[in-house]
Amino acid sequence: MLTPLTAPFELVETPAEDLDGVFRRYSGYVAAIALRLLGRDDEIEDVVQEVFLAGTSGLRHLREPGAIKGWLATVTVRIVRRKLRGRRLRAMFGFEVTPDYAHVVADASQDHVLLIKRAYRVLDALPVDLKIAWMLRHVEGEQLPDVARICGCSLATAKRRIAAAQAALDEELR
Amino acid sequence: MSQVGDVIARAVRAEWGEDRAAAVAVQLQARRRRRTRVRAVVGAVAVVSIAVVVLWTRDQRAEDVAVDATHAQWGPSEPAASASASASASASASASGSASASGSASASASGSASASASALASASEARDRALLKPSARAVATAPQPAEVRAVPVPVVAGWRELARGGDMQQAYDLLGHADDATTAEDLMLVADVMRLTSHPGEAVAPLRRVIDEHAADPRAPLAAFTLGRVMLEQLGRPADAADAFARAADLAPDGPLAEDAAARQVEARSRAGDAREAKRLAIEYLRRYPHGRQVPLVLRFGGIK
Repeated sequence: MLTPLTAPFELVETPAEDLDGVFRRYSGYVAAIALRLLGRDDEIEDVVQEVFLAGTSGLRHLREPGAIKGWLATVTVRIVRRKLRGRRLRAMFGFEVTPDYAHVVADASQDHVLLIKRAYRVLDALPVDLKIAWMLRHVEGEQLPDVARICGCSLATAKRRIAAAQAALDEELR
Repeated sequence: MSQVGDVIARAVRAEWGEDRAAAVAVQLQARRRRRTRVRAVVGAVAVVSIAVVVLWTRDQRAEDVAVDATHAQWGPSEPAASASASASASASASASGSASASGSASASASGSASASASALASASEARDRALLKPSARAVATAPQPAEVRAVPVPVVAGWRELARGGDMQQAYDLLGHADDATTAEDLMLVADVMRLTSHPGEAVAPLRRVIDEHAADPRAPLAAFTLGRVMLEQLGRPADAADAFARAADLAPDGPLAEDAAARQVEARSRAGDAREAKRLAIEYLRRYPHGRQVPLVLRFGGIK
């Protein structure tokens, strides 16, 4: 598992002005979040580019170098949320094929592959915000205040979303 | 963390090696350059648009200033025009008195020349003239077909505000019962209301009252000049217009309207068919203003090649 977002609040050596350095350091982190949230590999590069394009101006204005990671997570979630909603809209009109989540599983037993596929299908059926909140909390391992900050909602809303998603998963995966 | 989440976190990992990151970095650079170019183009278009708007606004303002200047010279007696006229007219206030006398004399001469025609004047003209002082009647002896309404003189409070606010039509409606316009300012305002609501004939009487009753007022030359314009351009009475222009020049020989009044006197005489007088006035103008603004007009109407 990746280091949770509490880490980015430590001081980062890379200065905010060194955008290439920031990219080298955090592009993998952004790609990992995007992959887990999207559940497919073919959109990752596009997301990474968009994150670093959109985040450029924000990165220049960050006062604390330690906030870079958190800022990138927020931008990533925003872009992924847009893509997930677009995907749902396209699926509604039959233009989107449900991804086979087995492709993104690197190495796991068949049981785990099946479990992952079922979990993604349950999460796909939930509202996007619920899915994102649950993934940030239980997959990325973020603390609740960080989940709320990244999702741009209150702590109570973040808790409610996570609980709702967890209830749906418990119901389906029982 | 839930068990499912833990499984996903361990099993779902992005294959993000250095090669892939480098490729994305190259694409990212290309996108940044493209975005910079687009922003530059959009910025340039915005700057050009703003510059065009600013220049256009400045031109409009310059035109407005030019129109105001023309208005002050030729147009209605706006306060600005009156003020500018008063500025120089007050300087020659002492001269206005004597000049006024000679102006009356010339007006009387031309008035008597057309005295026989006045027998045909309509009843409305008679009413109109009845409101004038005897010295003004001399100027108004020619037939005045457009002067069909008695001088509307204001009593109802509010017409002045309406007129000054530019609502001439409402001011005109109120003026129908008015009877107390005695000051030069009020009379000029009444004349403006009449002229600007397409009742030029009704502007004649108040303008004449300004000339005759307030000859020493700085607005008197402007009133005479405006009367000339009304006569010439709106009422088709060039002979009366010439008299009015002459009066304007006499009231303020060194005023800002003197040159234009002299030039338009030439035009009015020419249009009235008095070519000899037009030529004489043209020569007089050219002698006094050899480099004047109205030389082309004077040469044309003075019949001088």
